[in-house]
Amino acid sequence: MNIIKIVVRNVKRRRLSTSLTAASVALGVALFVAIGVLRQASEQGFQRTAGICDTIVGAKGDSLQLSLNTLYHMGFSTGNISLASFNEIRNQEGVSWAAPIALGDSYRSHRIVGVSSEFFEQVKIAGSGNLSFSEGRSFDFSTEQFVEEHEHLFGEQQAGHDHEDDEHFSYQAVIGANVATKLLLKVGDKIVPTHGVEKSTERHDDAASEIVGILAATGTPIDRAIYIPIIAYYKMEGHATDHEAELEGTRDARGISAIMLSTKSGYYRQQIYRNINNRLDAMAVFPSIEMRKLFKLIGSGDIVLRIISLLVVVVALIGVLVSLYNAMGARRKEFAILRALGASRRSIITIVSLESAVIAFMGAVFGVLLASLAALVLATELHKFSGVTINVSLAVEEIYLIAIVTLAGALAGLIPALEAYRTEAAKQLSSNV
Amino acid sequence: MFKNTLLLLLFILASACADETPEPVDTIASLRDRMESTKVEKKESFWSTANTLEERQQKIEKIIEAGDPVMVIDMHDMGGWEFDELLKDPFPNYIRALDGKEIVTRGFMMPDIDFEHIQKFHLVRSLYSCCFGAPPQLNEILRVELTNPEGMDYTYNTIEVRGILRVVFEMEDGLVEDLLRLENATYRVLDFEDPGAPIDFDAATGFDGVVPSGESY
Repeated sequence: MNIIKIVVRNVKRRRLSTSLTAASVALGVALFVAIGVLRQASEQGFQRTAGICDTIVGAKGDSLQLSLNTLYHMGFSTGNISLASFNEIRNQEGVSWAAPIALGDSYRSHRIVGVSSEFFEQVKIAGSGNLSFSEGRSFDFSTEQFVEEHEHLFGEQQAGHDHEDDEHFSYQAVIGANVATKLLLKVGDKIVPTHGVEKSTERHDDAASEIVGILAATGTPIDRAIYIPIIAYYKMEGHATDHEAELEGTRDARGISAIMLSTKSGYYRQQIYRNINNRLDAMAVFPSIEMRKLFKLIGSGDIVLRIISLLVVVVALIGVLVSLYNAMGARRKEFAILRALGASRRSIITIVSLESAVIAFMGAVFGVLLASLAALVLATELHKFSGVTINVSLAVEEIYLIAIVTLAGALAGLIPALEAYRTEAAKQLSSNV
Repeated sequence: MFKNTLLLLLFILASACADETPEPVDTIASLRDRMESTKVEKKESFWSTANTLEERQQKIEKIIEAGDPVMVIDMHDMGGWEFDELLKDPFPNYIRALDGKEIVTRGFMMPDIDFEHIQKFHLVRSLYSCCFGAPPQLNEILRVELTNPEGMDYTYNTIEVRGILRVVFEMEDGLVEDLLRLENATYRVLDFEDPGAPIDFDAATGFDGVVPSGESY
């Protein structure tokens, strides 16, 4: 008598019941795995982006908001810092490079970021190195040029914005890989920025920018952004001439939104961090720590979700138990025949427990596959939303999970198995004569 | 059977509740004996209490004199001296004498960009002081290079490191490279004990985001 054959035959015979109970196990397992895999992968993806620079400097405010706005292009800016502050900060001992950032406009839901050409030269993505161009080139506008031109535009000698210069300024743009594919843009095309980061109809027709380069995909929010020379932000109509707002002290219209800093690790980084945070007009944050804080926060909710998904698995296993137990009445004769044919009571227990284990195993395997599929779909959605690419992969833990669920299934099968164990062969067979 | 068990349980409960027998009146001799036997051995703290630079120097010199193959040194005693980057050899003699010695010290990892598989990190004596007090000086930071290429995950707990101390003065792009380096280092994570933190400081919540919270990563 081959126990495995009997188990397989029994499972096949009760196809509907088996697949329904296995599906409920699969649902619980899928939930459990998907929550864990997605959380881990998204944290890695966000941390990868956080590694673009070690320190972000912005106006005093919420540190997480500053990180999310500057690196991930989410939410709103914490405010502006003056060019004088930028110059002081970038000239501190220990600063390797400092990239000024201006934010606030968009083009068809893609944020427009004002940068200097150092941004393209210095930014490194963990695992793939410096930024590269799939097509075209960077615009030629250095930080030094920016400081010089900013001085020229708003220096003490200048009465204000000189629009005569604007006529000679050529607006250029570099776009991220996703922007190019999604909006079907190519080098040579022109984009017209709209004012604000939300859907706005206020177009900066004066600043139609020609695309000069398309960045290769990085798997970070850089792919979803459009970069223009930072000085263009100040030349656009209505940007730096908002004297009313400036006078009210609501914002420094001539300031910059943030600074990306790369500093020498250890002593210098700590000193710079401390010096900036001691200032009244700026704050420094370590984006990697901000992301840790964010995911720690998410982690609390994640634990609750994982407990709920574990409860779903437990309920599903109870379902397996109930299904097998309910079938016992109808199967008593089957067990009696098996006993009459020479099967020991232990064999009967093994058969029923194995049936339960097989259902749990099938559910667990299907659940893990379902989780991978769900994680892939959700990862694509997350990429669309944030630009962060997350690599969904299953770990050895999932194999342990399958083993644990199978074992738990076998244990759940013990109750109906004991019921089968008690079957009196002679009584059952004689009662049916 | 059940009745007997219940009676036995009641008996045990009654015995436990009964008043203890009064202790005999202490004699001076018995008191002395009891004091000797219950005297708690005062645990020697790792953290140095040397205040002045002279005291720190004396402590280090004493350790060097003892000549132990592995020297147990608090980072506090290695710092405090005035660093002048214009000098060719800015180290005091007693610090220079530690070069190449195997040492054991304790401190905290300074949080940086990576939180997993960290192979090189900077160790400070007090994470609390580092975050809420004066930032550490160049001679108060130890760069640790672990032997294990897999490195370790970030922790805010106290860690003990052991390795070969290198006392080096190098400049790169006009910036001073780490003065104190621990090479071929091994580590063990201890419970949180920060000599710079207030006694009731709770590391799990107290750093409030300045240092990532959580046991370890």
